[in-house]
Amino acid sequence: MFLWDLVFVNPITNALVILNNIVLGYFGVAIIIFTIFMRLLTMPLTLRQIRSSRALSTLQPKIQELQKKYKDPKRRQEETMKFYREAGVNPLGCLLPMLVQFPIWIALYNALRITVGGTPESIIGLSQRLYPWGYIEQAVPLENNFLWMDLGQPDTSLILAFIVFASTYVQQRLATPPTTDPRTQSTNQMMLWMMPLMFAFFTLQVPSGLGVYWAMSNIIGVVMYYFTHGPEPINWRTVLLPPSAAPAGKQASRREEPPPKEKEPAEEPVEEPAEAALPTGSKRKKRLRHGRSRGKRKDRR
Amino acid sequence: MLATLFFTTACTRIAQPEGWAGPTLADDLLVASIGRGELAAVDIQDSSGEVLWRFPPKDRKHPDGSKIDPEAIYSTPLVADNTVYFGAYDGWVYALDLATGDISWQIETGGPIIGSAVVEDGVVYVGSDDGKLYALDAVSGQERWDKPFQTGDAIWATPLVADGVVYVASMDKKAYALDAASGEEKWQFKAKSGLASTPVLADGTLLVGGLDSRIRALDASSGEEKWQFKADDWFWTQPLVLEDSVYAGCLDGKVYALDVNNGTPKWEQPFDTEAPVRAAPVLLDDVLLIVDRKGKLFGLDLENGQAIWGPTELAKTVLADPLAQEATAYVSAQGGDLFTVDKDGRAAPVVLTESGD
Repeated sequence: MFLWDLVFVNPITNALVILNNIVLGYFGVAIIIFTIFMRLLTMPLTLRQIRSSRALSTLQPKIQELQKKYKDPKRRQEETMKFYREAGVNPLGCLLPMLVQFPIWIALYNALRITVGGTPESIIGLSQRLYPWGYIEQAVPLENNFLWMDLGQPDTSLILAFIVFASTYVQQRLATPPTTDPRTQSTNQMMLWMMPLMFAFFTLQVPSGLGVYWAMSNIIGVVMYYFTHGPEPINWRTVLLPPSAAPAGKQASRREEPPPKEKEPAEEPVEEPAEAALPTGSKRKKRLRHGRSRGKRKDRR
Repeated sequence: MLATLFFTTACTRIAQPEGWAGPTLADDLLVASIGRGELAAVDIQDSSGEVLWRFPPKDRKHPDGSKIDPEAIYSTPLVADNTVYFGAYDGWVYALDLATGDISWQIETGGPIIGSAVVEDGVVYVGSDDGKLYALDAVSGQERWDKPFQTGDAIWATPLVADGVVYVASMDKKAYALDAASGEEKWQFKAKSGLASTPVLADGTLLVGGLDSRIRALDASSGEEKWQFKADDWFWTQPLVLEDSVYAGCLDGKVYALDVNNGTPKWEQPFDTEAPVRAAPVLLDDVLLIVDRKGKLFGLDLENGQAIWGPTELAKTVLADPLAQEATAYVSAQGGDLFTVDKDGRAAPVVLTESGD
């Protein structure tokens, strides 16, 4: 625990206090700037996560085809993994960047809890975390009031909880890969509501400083998604409306037009994944070509 | 993602104020916080430990009809003229009858009260987290100044009243001297960080510790700085002045002895405890009693700072100032446990019976 504090929690705590000084003692603003900074710092990981997630979603039709084709679970898994390999996609690719970010998130939670605690006891605890630099010492005590909130206490006005709910919903809606599989759709649908509700509930339980962090982090996530989305425009109407209210036939996709080649892979042999079903981009095409040649070699055998 | 959320939320508790009110002795009655947001008068005659009354009373409410819930009590109760004065985290200042615990009066301030109240010439002085210093009539609770004295940030320190002057330290980084009768400012001194420690006077010198890790000596008449001493962490304890020495515990876990006249260390090296020191040092006969946050007690030699005994372990967190009574000290731990400690380091719990309920 000592090492954890030394490496993660204490530097983040001190960075927050330094930021607080820079923004003239508005700790809420310091949290927002810090969140932006952290999201920028972890952006390569986030982008990798988005790309992996997108690549996986593109492969979905083919995966479903494989699942229908092979009834034996072991064989089905082997073929699926083989398909992933050939397509140059790691199914854990979207999980790993998220796991790498976990320590940072947890440390940030802890740092916020320490800095916005607000009680005299927690301020004594804060003294043990701060570096003995005059620039940092002059920041204490931190200003806990930000807009209508006491950052050390839960926001009971429900405003922050609503912002967290809405921003989580939108981000979740954007980040959930479209799927035609009814079972996955059902799970996604449940998660689409569960996650925002849970975050909103937690916002009512924890210091509102954490809620500010969640809301800001979600908003940055949405912005990041917007700029990395690709050439097709996002249909905000389908994003903002609940899936049941979205226009018929568009539930599986947030884009203006459903991909025309979505059903093509189903007609192609398993060993030869279709271009349309695989991720776009020269690097991935290269991998695809490599995969094809392997497939042919197998045919020869 | 969900697992992490559960994990972090489980680890993330809202910090609850617990309070660190020290005990007060009035004849055979010990008035002390015996639980979060609870105060009690305990009969310590013949070690009976009978609880005579508890605060808050179940049947009394605030004037606006709301329930009395002090939340936490940081303010060490002060007894004067058979009345107990203290402030609570709920922002109210209470005056209770010492014998019965009945509320004589109650006044609401604009924020939690962390520092203790002082009474001088029939006036109760108390600072609040709303940044104001209040002067209240000790009998009626009515304000004695035209308006409370406003500082730039919370007042967490106990004010000091001497020779018609009120000295108060504020988290706005300033120490103020005010006219006790009118509340008008005489001077102010600006430090580098918030001032949370209660100031003390030593022959015209005002000593005050701060969150900038410094203890400062100010000219009490002008507010000019005479000297300052820097440690490795904040000074939050009220210093103890004995003759020409000032003794102060620090959140860096050390206890310093300094010359009142120039701030030079009097011991070869400061005494190292095992945890931050928030509780003020007190004198038991000729032994300096130090209590660190882990509840470890040390008896120090005043001359050289060497441990005469210790540590005696209470196995409780201690942040409250001990109360010294000749050769015995009463130590209040977080959660409300009370202990006595003698000058030889023997500690014993003060057993409270419930017969007073």
